[in-house]
Amino acid sequence: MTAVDDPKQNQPTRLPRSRRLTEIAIALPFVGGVCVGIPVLWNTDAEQGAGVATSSAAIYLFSVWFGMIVLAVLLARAFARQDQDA
Amino acid sequence: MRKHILLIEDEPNIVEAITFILLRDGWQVDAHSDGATAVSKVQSMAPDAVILDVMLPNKSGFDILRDLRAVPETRDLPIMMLTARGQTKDRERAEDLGVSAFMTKPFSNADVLANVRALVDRADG
Amino acid sequence: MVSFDILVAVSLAYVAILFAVAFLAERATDGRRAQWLRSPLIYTLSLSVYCTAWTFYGAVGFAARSGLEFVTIYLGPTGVLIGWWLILRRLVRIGRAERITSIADLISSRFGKSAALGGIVTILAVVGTTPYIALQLQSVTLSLSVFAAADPAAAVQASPNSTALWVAVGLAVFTILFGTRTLDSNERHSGVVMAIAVEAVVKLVALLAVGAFVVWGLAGGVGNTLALIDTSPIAQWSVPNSRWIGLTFLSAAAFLCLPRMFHVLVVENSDERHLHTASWAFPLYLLLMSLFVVPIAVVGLDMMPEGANPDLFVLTLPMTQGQNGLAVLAFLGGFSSATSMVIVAAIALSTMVSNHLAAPVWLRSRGEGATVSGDLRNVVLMSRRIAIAVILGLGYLYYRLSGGGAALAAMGLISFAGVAQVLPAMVGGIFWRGATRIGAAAGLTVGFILWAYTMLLPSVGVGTILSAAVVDQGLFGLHWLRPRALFGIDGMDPVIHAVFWSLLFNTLAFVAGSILSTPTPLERMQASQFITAFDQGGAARSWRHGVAEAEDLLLMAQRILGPTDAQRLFRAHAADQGKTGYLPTPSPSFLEALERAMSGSVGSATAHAMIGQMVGGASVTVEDLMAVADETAQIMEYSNRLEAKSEELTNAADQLRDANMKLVQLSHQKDAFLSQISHELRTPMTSIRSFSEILQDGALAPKDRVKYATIISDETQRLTRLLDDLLDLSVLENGQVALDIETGSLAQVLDRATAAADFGGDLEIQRPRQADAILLTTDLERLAQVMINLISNTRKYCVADHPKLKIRARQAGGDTELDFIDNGEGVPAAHRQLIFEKFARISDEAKAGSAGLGLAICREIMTNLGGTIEYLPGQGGAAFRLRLPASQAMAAQ
Repeated sequence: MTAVDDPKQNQPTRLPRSRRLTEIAIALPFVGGVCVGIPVLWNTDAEQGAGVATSSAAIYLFSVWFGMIVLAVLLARAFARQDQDA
Repeated sequence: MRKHILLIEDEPNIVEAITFILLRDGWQVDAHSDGATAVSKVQSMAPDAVILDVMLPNKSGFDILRDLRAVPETRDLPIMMLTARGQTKDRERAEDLGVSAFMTKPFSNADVLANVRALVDRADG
Repeated sequence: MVSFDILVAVSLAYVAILFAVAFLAERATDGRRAQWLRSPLIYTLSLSVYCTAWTFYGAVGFAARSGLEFVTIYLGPTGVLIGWWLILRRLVRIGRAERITSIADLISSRFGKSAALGGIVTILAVVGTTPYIALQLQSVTLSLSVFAAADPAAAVQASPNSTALWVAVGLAVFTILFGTRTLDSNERHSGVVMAIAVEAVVKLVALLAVGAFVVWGLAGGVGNTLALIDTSPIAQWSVPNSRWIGLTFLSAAAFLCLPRMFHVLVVENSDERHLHTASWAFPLYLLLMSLFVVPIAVVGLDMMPEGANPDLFVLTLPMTQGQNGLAVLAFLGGFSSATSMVIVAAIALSTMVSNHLAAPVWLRSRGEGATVSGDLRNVVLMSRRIAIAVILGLGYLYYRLSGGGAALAAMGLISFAGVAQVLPAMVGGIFWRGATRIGAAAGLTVGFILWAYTMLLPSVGVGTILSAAVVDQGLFGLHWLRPRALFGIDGMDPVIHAVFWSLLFNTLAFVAGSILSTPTPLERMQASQFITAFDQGGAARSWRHGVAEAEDLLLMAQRILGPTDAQRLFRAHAADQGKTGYLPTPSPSFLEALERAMSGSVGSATAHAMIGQMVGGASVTVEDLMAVADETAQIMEYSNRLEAKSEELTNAADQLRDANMKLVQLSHQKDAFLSQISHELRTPMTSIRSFSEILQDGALAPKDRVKYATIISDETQRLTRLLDDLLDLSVLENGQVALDIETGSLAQVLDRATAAADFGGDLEIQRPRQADAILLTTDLERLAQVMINLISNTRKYCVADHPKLKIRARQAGGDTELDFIDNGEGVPAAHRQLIFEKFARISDEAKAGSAGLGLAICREIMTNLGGTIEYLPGQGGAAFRLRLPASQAMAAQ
């Protein structure tokens, strides 16, 4: 298809914001992955019976989880707004 | 002095018709029917105008026109082309090659005479 | 205590309600109010088929055994949805653009519509889903047995096995009624989706209710609950590093690859924008489902007697506390989890089985002629029903084989690892242009075998399929082939062991196979369709609904008509509607025109179905499946030909080039012919007009007047002859000539011809001696016409001082050959092909009365007589040979 009505050409000012949104959307799961991966770094070893308190670990994990959801809400709303503008 | 017209055409009946009307109008007319020798015929006779058919044996009227326009002596010679094929692309081709006038067969005698007169007058003027 | 009978009655009532919901939702789809049925909320809730009985019951058991590890199963999907921009967006776009009906269809379609790959993925999916279905059977059986055990008055104290069988049969019947009630064209089931959404709410509410009861009713608040956790057997959590990362990854992979998840994520998706909402709403759903898992596990471990099955705490905790209503709600939640999973999985799998196993086999068995017919509808419906029954039967079989004793989580993970084998081919297929069919098939096969060997077969019990010897000493006694310690690496977690090796070799085989093989043209085309699915439109535009529709139509039309024609058609219609660009409003008239254009390529039924699918939605049924099957079959056949006979293709290309050149030549010939006719008509007209004008002018000598009148008369005759010849030729060429067959001697024909042709001149004609003896049965008049032409040609063109025409006759095998040979210069070799063409005078020398049609007419006459005329070289002068068949009357007519 040819660039009959390529929105990018018509609205050059919109480009930076949509690109920023895209970049955030791509970065988000990686940030989440790192946060969820952090327990691996905790000094625990099943053999030696060392571990973290399940309650604090649960609070940490659910907080990260909830935080990611909040970020996802904000991102989804930003995308929805961009759609309306476009 | 009577102006001299060279008619290059291979249909005997058409030669006869054009010769007749030109003679009657007071021109001097010669006819030639072979394409291959037409260019040298023009050069040797040095007519005041040439009437040239397109479909000629051995060499087409377009090639003859192109050869005539390629040399200085005949570059400005009035040349009227006749064609029976009647396609616009023939006319365009002839005009590209530098034809002076172009007529489609069948023609009216009066138009032929008018065209020849105009050509020779323009060349003189 | 809730009596067992009441529980069964409640379950049946619940099923009836679901049925009503599905029925009403499907009816509403046909009407105007369909909008909210397709809302982001319903889409998000439908994704909850991910949360099966495993989540509902098994998560608590998982947590009771391994602490917080259970969240990996929900963090993976959370990551996939939060990162929807990366993969899901692409999958959904491709799924919609390519009209994908299942994950098998996706893989098959991406890799050149390969039937084999579709089959492999289907088999993998069926085998991989089997433990999962067994898990649902087991959970329903267990939960029922809890109630049965608690109710001494239960009429049937059924054995777990027969309970599981009845549940399986019930679910099969339910799913067949539910999922194959209609044969929906785009594989969307609004009724089922609606029922799933209702079940999603039921299971969330049930689990939250149990959780709230446990935290605030039993443990005494959040603080006490946390304190209870810290004193429980799972107070300390050792992070199992490889399992933590491995299971998160595995659940993310399975979320994308599970047939039922692919079905609700991609196939049932009606609007890409729903992903925006689902990207946070479904993680929230998962979070809520997980929130009370640890408290329930901890309280259960604390309050339930030693040895109680932690997989059932959700049910047994309320029961033992006398909360009968809550227990029934919990049961319904678990029942919802199990049934929704089984229904969607069975629908997705049966679609795959019918489209990728049954229909191809059926089409092949029908042979080449398998075109559109009503039979396919029955085949598809029947194969789906059978598939559903078989799938549930396999689940039951697995349940029996595995002894019904395994933990729910362990069975779920086997399933996850199985379907995750599709991941390399899927992700590679949508991101890597170089991925090929061979690579995908190699990866899938290797992964499947390794998964089956290291995970599935050991799971059904040592000694069932794999003997104890194989498990302990390795296959063929090879130590490094032990299914639980490949390459002699001991000590790995069994799940991680299986996932690691199977996916590693799967990916390696996929990459290596892709690099080492060459994709077919169709694969290349599909690869670029898939990989550029996104870069074409720009994100902002794709979400505007009206535009997207016309764009969808254009995408589809391009696939069928080719980009150039499709774009031309679209642009023309857009211009008619006063719009610029390529996207007209999809008005009825435009759709009709598009359908017509497509009918030319794929046939009317298919075109109709395809347009209906794009535009109308639900109304198309059978035709559409047939369209899919036919199209696939056609493309398969085409691609097979491409592969097998590339040489033939080269020849075909040459032939096409020749044909094209012939067409160009024909076009030139037509122009030349018209130009010639113009010339031949205008030349006599020129003389006629010119001399008429001269005559009109008057004042001519009488001699001249007569002469010029004669010229006019001659030229008029010439015109008439030309027109006669043209008409004659036209009649002959069209084969409309009525032949007047009679029998006569050659001598008679020659007499007639020479008499007609011989108007003066000094041509000497030598006739064959045996002319009287040769009898011909043909149209003698027409044959004479040929001879007249040949004789007058000789008269015109033979330049010898004393022109002679020698005629020879010969009869051989019934055929008669007549040679006409003159003593002139003959025809130069270069012109011999041309002389039989219209207006093909070799020199431009105009012979009066000749338009160059004579030999063309001769050739047409001879063809009509069933014979031939050809130039005979090497005879000194010009020579023509006529050949007449023995009984041309039969041959020609």
